Amino acid sequence: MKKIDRSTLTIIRFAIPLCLSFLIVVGVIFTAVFHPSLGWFATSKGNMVSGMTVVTTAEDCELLIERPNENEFDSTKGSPPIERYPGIGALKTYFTQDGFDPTTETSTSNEPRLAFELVNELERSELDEELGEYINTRYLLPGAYGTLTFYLRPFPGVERVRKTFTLTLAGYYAVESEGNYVIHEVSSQTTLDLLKGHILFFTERTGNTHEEYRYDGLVDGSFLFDSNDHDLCEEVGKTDCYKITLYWEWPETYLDISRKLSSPGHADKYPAEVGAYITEHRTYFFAINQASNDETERSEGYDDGDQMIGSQVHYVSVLIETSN
Amino acid sequence: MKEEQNVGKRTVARKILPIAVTMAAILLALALPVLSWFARGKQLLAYAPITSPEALYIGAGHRDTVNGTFEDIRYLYFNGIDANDADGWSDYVFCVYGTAISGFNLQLAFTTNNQFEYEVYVASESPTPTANTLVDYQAHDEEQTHYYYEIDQEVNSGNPVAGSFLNLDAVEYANNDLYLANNSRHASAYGLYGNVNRFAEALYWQTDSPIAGDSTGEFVVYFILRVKTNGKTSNDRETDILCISAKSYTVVEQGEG
Repeated sequence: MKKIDRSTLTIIRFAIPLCLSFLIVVGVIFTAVFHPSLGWFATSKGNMVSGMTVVTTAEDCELLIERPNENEFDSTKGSPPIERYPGIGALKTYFTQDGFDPTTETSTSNEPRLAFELVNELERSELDEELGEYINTRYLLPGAYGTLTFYLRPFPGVERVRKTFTLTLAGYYAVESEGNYVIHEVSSQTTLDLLKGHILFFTERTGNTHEEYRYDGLVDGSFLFDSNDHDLCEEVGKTDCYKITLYWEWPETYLDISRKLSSPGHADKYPAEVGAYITEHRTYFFAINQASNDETERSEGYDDGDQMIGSQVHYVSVLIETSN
Repeated sequence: MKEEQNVGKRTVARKILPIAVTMAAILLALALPVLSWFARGKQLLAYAPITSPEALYIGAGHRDTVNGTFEDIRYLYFNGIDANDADGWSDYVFCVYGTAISGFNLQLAFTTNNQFEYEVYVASESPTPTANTLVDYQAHDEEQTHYYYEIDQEVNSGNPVAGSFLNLDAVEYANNDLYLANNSRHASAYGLYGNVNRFAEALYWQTDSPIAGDSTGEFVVYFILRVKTNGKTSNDRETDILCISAKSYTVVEQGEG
């Protein structure tokens, strides 16, 4: 048997780790690119082969959403059926092109970028002039309110998760041309600002009916989640997750906010911080009369803001991100 | 001999070890959460549709559906109504215009310091004055065009639009011939505040059935508002507030089957 000489041995000693590293990189890239659903792999972080430093990451949890059996906004109307919410198909395609997966699955999904429906608790029956019949819709409009829910699952061994989530609102409008819809993003900063004031998000809500709702924890662009302040979810299959629910409302008029503001000793629908938020961000609430503190002028400004949103924005999206 | 065996073993081990470690590495790579490698952040996107506001507006005289011009409602004003006017009334024009609204109700809300009577007639517009012209309206375009309005005799035989009060105090009306509001709508206007002069309590009048618009396109309906003083005079100058609102309303026709 020929003895392997030292130089060859040295080469082999370096070559093997190099090849291994290359294979590992290829392996991870391969996996990342082809997006397999890795729900059941996610818990294996603890199974590191000792001595192998593969990926260092600061991430300590993952975010999940629950898919409904049916999407509300995918519903149709009339016969032959057409989209109840015009342009929804084009919007979902638009999101898909941006890397957000909006497909409906019944299991909890943890794809990296997910698009899902905002839950609107307000259902309205309106006359569809074209069909000549009443249909139920869940459009957002002044007076609407609802929730946004997602789940946070700490990785095994992680004791405490503290995350800052940022919320970013965007608007879209659909232009019809020859039976197809083309989605455009709303670029007017004035309108985008108005969305931030007219659709308010809170981290807490009490009360059983809309008339009894009391909000707290106004989300001013971001909110902090600390797992120490929360209990794990009790629902079957999610007991290793924290359920994070945001509550939103689009106040119908300015007076609906200003006359229902809490103050020391008086608890009301909106927390006192909303009052300061309005004064700090007048362009979020009022399209005109921004400098005014007069109730009537502010009401006009708010109504004009509603009008501006309604006539320019067909769809709104809320992007939730965490960078730490 | 022993050396040969040892070398053999080492050679085999050298072959097995890299393969084993490689496999372990690949399995490990597959086991890692996917985008922790590429995207530090995680992103969720919630979306919802927003409804369009109804296109229903109130303007002063003249609305041009072709080039989209309208007269801002602030041009409807009532300066100094002379209660001694020989006719006993003054006429003003306003319009309700919009798009894709099949019908709307009108509501008048007013205080009752001046005990005026209000009537609303559907009007027709003419570019030139006619024998029945009641209102000569000067538009705020460059040419300051005049438009002339008269009661449309083909609508309701020229009678006022039918409507009723929501909160007329029947007793005061019957006994004292006074237009006063009762308390039934007090909370909507004033909440819990109690010290309201009875003439400042708003009286609400509303059309009995919707006035037709156009469910498929743009429309405009002109109205003449007749403010009747009925010859009641007083030495006091009184002021009232009048609000005119229009709200879309549709009656679904129950067809056969």
